[in-house]
Amino acid sequence: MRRLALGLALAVAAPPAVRAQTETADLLRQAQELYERLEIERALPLLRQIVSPSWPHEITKEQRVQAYTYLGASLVLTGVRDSALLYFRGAIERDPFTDLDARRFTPAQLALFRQARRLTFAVAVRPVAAARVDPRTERATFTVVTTHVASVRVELRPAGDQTAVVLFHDVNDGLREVPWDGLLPGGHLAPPGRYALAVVGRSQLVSRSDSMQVYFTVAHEAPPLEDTLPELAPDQLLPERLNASAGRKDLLKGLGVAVGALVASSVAANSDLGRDGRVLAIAVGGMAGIAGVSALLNARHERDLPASVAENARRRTARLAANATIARRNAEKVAQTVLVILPAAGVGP
Amino acid sequence: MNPGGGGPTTPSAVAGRVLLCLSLAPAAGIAQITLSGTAAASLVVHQVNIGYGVEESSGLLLAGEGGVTFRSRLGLTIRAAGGSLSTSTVGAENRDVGEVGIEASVSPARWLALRASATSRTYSTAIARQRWTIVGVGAEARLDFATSPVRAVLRSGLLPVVTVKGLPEPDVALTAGAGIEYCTGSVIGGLFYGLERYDFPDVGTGRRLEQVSTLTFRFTVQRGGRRGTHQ
Repeated sequence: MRRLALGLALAVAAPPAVRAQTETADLLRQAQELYERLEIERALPLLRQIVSPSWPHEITKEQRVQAYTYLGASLVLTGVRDSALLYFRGAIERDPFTDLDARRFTPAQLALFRQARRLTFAVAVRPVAAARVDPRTERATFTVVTTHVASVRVELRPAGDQTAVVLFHDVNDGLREVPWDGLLPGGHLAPPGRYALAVVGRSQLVSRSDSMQVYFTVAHEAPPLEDTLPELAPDQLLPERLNASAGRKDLLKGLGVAVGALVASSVAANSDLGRDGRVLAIAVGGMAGIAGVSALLNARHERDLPASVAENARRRTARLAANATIARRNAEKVAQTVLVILPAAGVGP
Repeated sequence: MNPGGGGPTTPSAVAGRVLLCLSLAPAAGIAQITLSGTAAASLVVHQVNIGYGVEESSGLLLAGEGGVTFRSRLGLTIRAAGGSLSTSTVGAENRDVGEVGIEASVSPARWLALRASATSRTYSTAIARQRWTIVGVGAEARLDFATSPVRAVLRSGLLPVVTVKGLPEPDVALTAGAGIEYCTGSVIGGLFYGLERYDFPDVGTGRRLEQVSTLTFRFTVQRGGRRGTHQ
């Protein structure tokens, strides 16, 4: 009782479109069961009811194709071959992937279905399935179909780009799996983005052409790349020419340290504890003062500093070498990139 | 001296291990990281006045440091030091001192570093042991000479947390210092003056004043990444 109540509650709560599809599915299942029991005369009205314009419930493309297929198969058994052919063609036009299972249908049904395929021309491509593809060892696979022998061209094109990769261009009949190695023209790995897979076919039996395209996205999955070292800032390079003003500034820096040491040992120190620690500050201050005076004397005459020029060149070279190493490691990481392929919205003729 | 009381520390051994680790560190893959190891020797003058005159002790402190710098901006340093201080003051005892510390720094500009540090220090005599816990914040200005591979360094800071067993927190606790560094290749030598001052409040037994002055020779080896301007 509780289950019944739960079922009723779910049925009431279900969206109308879902309930309508369920009505169609129920009736289709009844018709199929009747067909399997060879109660063709009882199955036909149900199938006609489903495909009738007056059928009040929603019907999906797959349900309509199935109904057409069973209508065609039933009519073959009743000897109405012309109508059966029309229903088979209707199913093939709506879904070129439609086929009959040779174990479940009679040779007459299969023969008429093949005839319908020869009279109807359509191409199709299956929606792209989500996949992770390592371009070094794996291939993405797309499935295309033509209803009969035709000249087919399968192209892959980045969205918004006219340059296309031709994946297949030859005669085809029926299903074909088209592999893609993840590369674009020039051997470049397909960059992340949206892509269109287009199939264009021209029948070799009837004077007709057809096309279809589906969309998918490509993302890259790769180890994080390292940053390269930035340009050396001016303060990371030594002055390459000595001048008097630089010497004066260095003198001030040296004297600044000397003054700082003396201030720390006198102002910051506790005078109640005596002045024995000051001698340490004087030692440092004296050394800093000597360094400052040496800098001043050293810079009296303007001149180039070959040692600094060489040192700066060494730093630039070291940076370039480090960046080359980083670039090499990054290239190795890029080579490990895996393509993540996901279906995208959109489908077109 | 091991502050934890587990026996004497050997700063030279610590410095040796740090230098060994640096020499074995792979240069590739750590271009943005600089590793450094420092050995230091400090002449220490320790002065204390608890109301009966200044008691002064001095001696040599050996230290080892290991540091890592990320992208020349963020630094982390651990430090261990130990040594003995002797005194000629009548009635005073010689003491051992040992400390371990950690310091983090950030450089908002190439010439400026902001520092935060925590240090655990122990003074030991034959009859007593006194443990200090010191937390400090401060700034360091680094001024490169334009004409030679010399750098001027000025430091100052406050010690907002000073915990000494058996003593109240000091009213005044600060640190200051100045020095110069000479840099060649991946080796840096330095001479620094440093001062730590602690003024403890009077809690009925007299005001305790304490001060540590140091003259430190530092010898640093760097590896990996971009080093200081003077190489």
